[in-house]
Amino acid sequence: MPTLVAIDDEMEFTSTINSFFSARGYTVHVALTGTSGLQLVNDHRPDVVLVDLKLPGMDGDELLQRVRASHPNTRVIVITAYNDGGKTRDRLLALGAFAHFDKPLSSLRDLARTIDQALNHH
Amino acid sequence: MIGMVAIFGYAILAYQLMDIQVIIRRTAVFAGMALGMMAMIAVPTVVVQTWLGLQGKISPVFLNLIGVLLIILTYERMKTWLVNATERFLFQKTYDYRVLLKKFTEEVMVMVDLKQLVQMTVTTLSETIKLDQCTLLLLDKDSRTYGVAASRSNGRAVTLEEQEPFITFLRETHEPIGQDGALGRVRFPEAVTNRMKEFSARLCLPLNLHEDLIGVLCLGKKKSDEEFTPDDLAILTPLAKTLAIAISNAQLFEELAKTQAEAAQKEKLAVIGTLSAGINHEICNPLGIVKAQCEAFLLDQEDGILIGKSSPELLERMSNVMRVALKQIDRATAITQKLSNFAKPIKEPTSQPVAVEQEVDEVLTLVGHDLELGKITVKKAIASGLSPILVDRRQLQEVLFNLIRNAGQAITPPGSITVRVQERAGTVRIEIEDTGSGIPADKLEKIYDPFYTTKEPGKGTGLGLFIVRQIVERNHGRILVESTVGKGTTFFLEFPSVKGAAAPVAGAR
Repeated sequence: MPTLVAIDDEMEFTSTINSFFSARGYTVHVALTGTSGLQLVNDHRPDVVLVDLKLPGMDGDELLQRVRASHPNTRVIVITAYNDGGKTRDRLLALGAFAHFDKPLSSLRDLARTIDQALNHH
Repeated sequence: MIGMVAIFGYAILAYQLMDIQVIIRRTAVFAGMALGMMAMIAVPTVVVQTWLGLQGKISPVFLNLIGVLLIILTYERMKTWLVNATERFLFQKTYDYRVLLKKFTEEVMVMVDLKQLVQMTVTTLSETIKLDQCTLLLLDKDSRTYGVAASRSNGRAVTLEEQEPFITFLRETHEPIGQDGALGRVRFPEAVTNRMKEFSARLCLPLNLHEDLIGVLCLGKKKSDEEFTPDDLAILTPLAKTLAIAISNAQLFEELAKTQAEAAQKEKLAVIGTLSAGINHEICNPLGIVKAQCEAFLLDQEDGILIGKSSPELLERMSNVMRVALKQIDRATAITQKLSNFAKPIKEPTSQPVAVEQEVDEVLTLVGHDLELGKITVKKAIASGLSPILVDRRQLQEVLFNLIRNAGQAITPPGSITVRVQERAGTVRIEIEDTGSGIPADKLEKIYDPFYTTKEPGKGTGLGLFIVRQIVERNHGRILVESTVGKGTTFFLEFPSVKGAAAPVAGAR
């Protein structure tokens, strides 16, 4: 069963991700801070990590780099709410993010499709 | 009887006969005229009969006709002479020019408000010289036309073109034009005198500044009927010169104020630009949540995940989506309100008791994201039980916002900004400390100057601190700064606290 870790300090967003992907056969773990999120990644070694960029404690940037360094097989998808015309997206992709999404998400379906692509990328 | 009342009533209104001096003067002139006319009739008879000894040889009717002829020939001159004589001998100049000049130099010329200046000029002149009309025309620099800036008893809106003969004549001669005394004997072009009549003016003084004619001062008839004398001109001509300078100063002041307000507005727009990261975050996050919740429900239904759920379960799930959506919509709305508050132009402050802590929090919501993205930590150390301060809430936010943003721009990441609030001896003190580059002592004294900036081109207009200080002082506070190069800068804001006033309700505007 594919495993997901979703990290976002917007609790209502993570809980939606949790129920949506749980109902579709994923094992989902959620965290509200970067530090506890990294702990979940280390504990569960997920296939895909969904992470918000702006987080209390350790931010998405740092988490992305740490996960890339210690778990090269784990794909990281970053979701941001800045919509700064692709500047942040390019930087994150250069840092090794598998994909980047703006909030609001174009569609949960798009996210699910990208997660499936990430799983098949192994 | 009724006719008499009507005539007196009209006379009172039309000539302001209630003015006792005017009544006496007019009576004296009338008596003088009557005496003069009798003398004119008597003179030919006396001359012919007594001196020439021609009694009985020339018809009395013929002598009377000569008398009438004399009256006709001398009438105007006699009247003018009598008016001036009564003025000089009976009243010894009822308007004291020293009073007029003193009032002008002390009260009128120092006014920086253009509207007030022109209005006071017209009022003071009308009242001191007792004029029935007084109009001040001013040049509008944009349309290059001359319009009525202020007028006493002549409310008509007249606009004169730059090429109008009346204007060109005054501009070229730099000399007053008039219908009295020596000026009355000058033959001015007809177009010029027609305009004078239109303004009911007896005397028009050009307001020259360098080579430009910035306005025209038109003085009407004196209520005393007295003419404008060379003495009048000797005072009014230099007065017009001073007035031209005062008006020009007030106009420059007005322009400066306008430029300042425009620059302040520009600065605000620049500020909104830097806010965009925080705003996007604060609006896109709630929207992201609402969208994901609604979509998840619909997709669950589409994908058959909701099949087999009980009605109460479905109802609970739907209600939950609604609750979350409403909460997030409110959150996004609050941000747009904060933003529109920031965008409004600076006005006079409307003071109210304000809880500093709440305002610091609000500002940090807006600017905090931007700072954290730039690896700048924001620390808060706010004392508990603070008294409110009496300020304009929006303006305080603006000040805090500008100081925190400046602090952020002074830091080469990583670094931190600390906001401290304390209360001591009736004063609430807000400190904004950064770990930035610091400001050298020689530059520290210039930081409040308008357009002074050390930021890279495009990053600041240099109006931030200039406006910040203006706002702080307008809200009865003061701003201080300490800085060490290489260590950082601290701004201190001090406002008197409001003792015993209730802290405002959260979210009150």
